[in-house]
Amino acid sequence: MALNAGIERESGAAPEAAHGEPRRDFLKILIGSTMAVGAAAVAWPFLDYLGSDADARAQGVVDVDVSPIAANSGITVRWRGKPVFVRRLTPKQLAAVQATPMKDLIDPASFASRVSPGGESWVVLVGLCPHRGCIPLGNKPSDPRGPYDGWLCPCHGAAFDAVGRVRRGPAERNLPVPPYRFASPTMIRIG
Amino acid sequence: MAMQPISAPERIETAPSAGFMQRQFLDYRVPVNLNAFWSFGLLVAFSLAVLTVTGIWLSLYYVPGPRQAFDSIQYILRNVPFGWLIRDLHLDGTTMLFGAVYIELFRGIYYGTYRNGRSAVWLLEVLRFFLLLCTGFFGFVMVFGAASYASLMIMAAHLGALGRILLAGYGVNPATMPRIETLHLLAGLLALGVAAVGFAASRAAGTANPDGIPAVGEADRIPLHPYYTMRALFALVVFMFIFAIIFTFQPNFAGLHEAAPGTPALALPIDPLPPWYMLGFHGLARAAGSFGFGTFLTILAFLLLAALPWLDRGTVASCRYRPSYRGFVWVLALDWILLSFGAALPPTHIATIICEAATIYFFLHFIIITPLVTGFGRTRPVPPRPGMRRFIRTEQV
Repeated sequence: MALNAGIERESGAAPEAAHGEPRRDFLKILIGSTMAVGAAAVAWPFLDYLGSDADARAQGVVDVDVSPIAANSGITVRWRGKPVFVRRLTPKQLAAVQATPMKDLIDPASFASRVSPGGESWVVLVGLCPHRGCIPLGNKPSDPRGPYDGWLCPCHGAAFDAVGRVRRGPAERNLPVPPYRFASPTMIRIG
Repeated sequence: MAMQPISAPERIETAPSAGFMQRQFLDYRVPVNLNAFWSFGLLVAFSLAVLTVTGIWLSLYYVPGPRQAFDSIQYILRNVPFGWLIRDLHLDGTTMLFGAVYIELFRGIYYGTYRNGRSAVWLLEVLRFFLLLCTGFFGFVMVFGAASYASLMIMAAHLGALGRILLAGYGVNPATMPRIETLHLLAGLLALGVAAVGFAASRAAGTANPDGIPAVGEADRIPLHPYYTMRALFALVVFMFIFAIIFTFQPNFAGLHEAAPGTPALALPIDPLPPWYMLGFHGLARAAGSFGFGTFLTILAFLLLAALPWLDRGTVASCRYRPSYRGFVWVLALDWILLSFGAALPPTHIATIICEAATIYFFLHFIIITPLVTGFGRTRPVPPRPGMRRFIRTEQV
């Protein structure tokens, strides 16, 4: 391409220039596109190397066996470096969160949007307070659960209900629900 | 030096900082008679670029530690996407680099490129060679397989009291590997710097040529582009082809690193061989018989190589026109190969004799043969101007 330009200038004045130009254009495009493909083929492994390695990729999906979790108790699992709360609700707690009017919520979200269809008694939440990122209390039996029988952030006092919706500030958003599904009736796959 | 600007592609002309590029890589005038040996500058630069980039990439996952070093490289090979590729490029890049560097050194000795006001260029070339070997050694140790451990211990013994600074103690401890890694980076970056200064010095002194005479006339020099850029790019394609063959068929050519990991408590591995490009120096040490004398001979070898511009007493620079010295230069190259082979042999009586004989000849070449043969050896008439070999008979005989 650039390297041919000197030769091109010399032949430019030749009588058969009109005949030669398309051929040279074709050669330029051919060389240029071959070089672009080659450069991309070299760059690809170097860029892919910078992405996540096999260990990091393996952390992306976590399987959790929920069968040992009794009603009204929960566990904390690690998913992508973050704590994830898994809690099994009692029928009384379910009724309470379903009965909550939407206008009372700081960040309105329906009950159905907080649980997985078919596993409505299970709540799965990323356990980081949306306010400043503290880990809310309430997953251990000895923890305080706050006034709404969910979670209570120890840093600034934000309170969440049993499906992780914020009921008292300073947090303004609900605890996030990670992507998950029931791989089997007793196994959830997070990620 | 005054140059006539040669038309370069307009795109490059108008780009920012195009002035430097155009002066140094397009319009720069080189002697008319350069041969294939003069393509090796680009090959060395290409190898250095490959090693620098892959080295930076490898450093993202490398962990310096007596146990972690080997494991982190295995991790790169198995768990990091294309880690095997980056690592093998780095490993086999050393073979390509030292292949090109050794051929460049041979070019210098054969054509006397250290003559005609280029002794500083030669000193920088030898210094670059030394720094690259240091980088290669520390890189070999960084892998920390069994052979690396043995090499580190032997090097520490060679360096005496300095060896304790190298190891950060009497043996390998948690402080050892971080400083090996730092030394690898430091020596590598210094080598890059010396290579850049050497390039500038070579341009300032004017490119040498196979006839060994200065190319000062306007008609003796032609622009680098397109005449030699095209040729160098062709050489680069051939070079990359050889690189690809080694990479695909002999990826462990520059050193077998699959040996047992970590530090065997008080035992050396069966065969602690350094990579091929260090075998000659391994042979010198082997012939020396003791650590102290081995260190002395290695330092002496580098000093004599650097002193070549002053050891050469001849009026003619290029071996094209000094037939008696030409034979000795070839013998020196074969001697170095023999020394490398001798160093790679199992430790038998024969191997020691080979190493000793080759070592004696190596020093003989620099101390006795070079001053005598270049000073008193037969020479042929030199062409009046570079590239005019065919006119010698008509003009001078």
